[in-house]
Amino acid sequence: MLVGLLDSRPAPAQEANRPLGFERYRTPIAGSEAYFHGFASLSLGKGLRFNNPYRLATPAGDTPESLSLSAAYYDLALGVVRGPARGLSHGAVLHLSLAAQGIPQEVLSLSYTALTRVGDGRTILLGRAGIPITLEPDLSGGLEAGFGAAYMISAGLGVQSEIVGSLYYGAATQERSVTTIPVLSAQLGLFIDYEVLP
Amino acid sequence: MKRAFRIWLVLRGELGKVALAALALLFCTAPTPGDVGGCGQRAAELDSGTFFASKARLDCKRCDECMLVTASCTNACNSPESYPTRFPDQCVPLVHDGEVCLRALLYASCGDYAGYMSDRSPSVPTECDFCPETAP
Repeated sequence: MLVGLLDSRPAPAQEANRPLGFERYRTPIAGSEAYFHGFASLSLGKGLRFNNPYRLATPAGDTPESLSLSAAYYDLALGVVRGPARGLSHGAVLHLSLAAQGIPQEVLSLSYTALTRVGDGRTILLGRAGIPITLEPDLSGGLEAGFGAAYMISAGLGVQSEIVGSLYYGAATQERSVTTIPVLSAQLGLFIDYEVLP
Repeated sequence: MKRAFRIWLVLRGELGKVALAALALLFCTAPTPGDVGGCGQRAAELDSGTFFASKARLDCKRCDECMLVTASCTNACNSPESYPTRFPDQCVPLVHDGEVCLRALLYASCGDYAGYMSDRSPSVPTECDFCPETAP
């Protein structure tokens, strides 16, 4: 619904009044023929943990339940979607996150993703939901959902930011057989857009 | 002149949007969750003998790597038996507590390690503070 609201299109009369080349950033494809659309991103992110039973750096309070900042991380994403030039496209995206500080950490996540262009076509909205798998330091998993936007500086290169909510499963404590670690993170980086036109 | 002004306006608009995105990042401070442990790892008590022996070895190794010369470093290398042999009363750390502590020490910077091995006022990484004293 949100996408539908944001993707409001002008009435035909308004379109006629617009100067030539107004939609220079939108792929000029007539009709609604679906085609493949690839994208990649390289970002730097930081997270906020909402449960910290093992007192991991960097705690922001005195209790294990208090907030803590996670290590900064690099995130590399590669995705492909299929859909019409105007409207929602659906596909999959693979993310690899590596810790930029502290102990080595690697997380691989595979998500369903949907994206659409809004406004004059320069802005791309992306949403995803998937399963992150922690490869290092210990094998674990969780659930993840993210929402982001990319602003295209040129046809193929833009800047993007994404907010990601994750829920990881961790080692047992004295009180709980399985701990759940909610993490809210934000990342900012470069977005590379590659359209394979039909 | 007019053209330069137009370019400046465009750049200001673009930079403003980039700055806005950067601010969003700052205020929404990972998919890398930290050393939270493996799913399915059970709660098993940490063996104090094994832990302190491992810690003494690691302290000695890091002192050597960071070229630290303190009495604590000499102690870790030459008298590992002087390390504690048991945890404080009422303090029952788990195996993952020990793993988290040792990994944090292994990857700590030399600057941080100098603080941990200081003879005057040694600091303790939060990961190794198994049973922090709670305020009354």
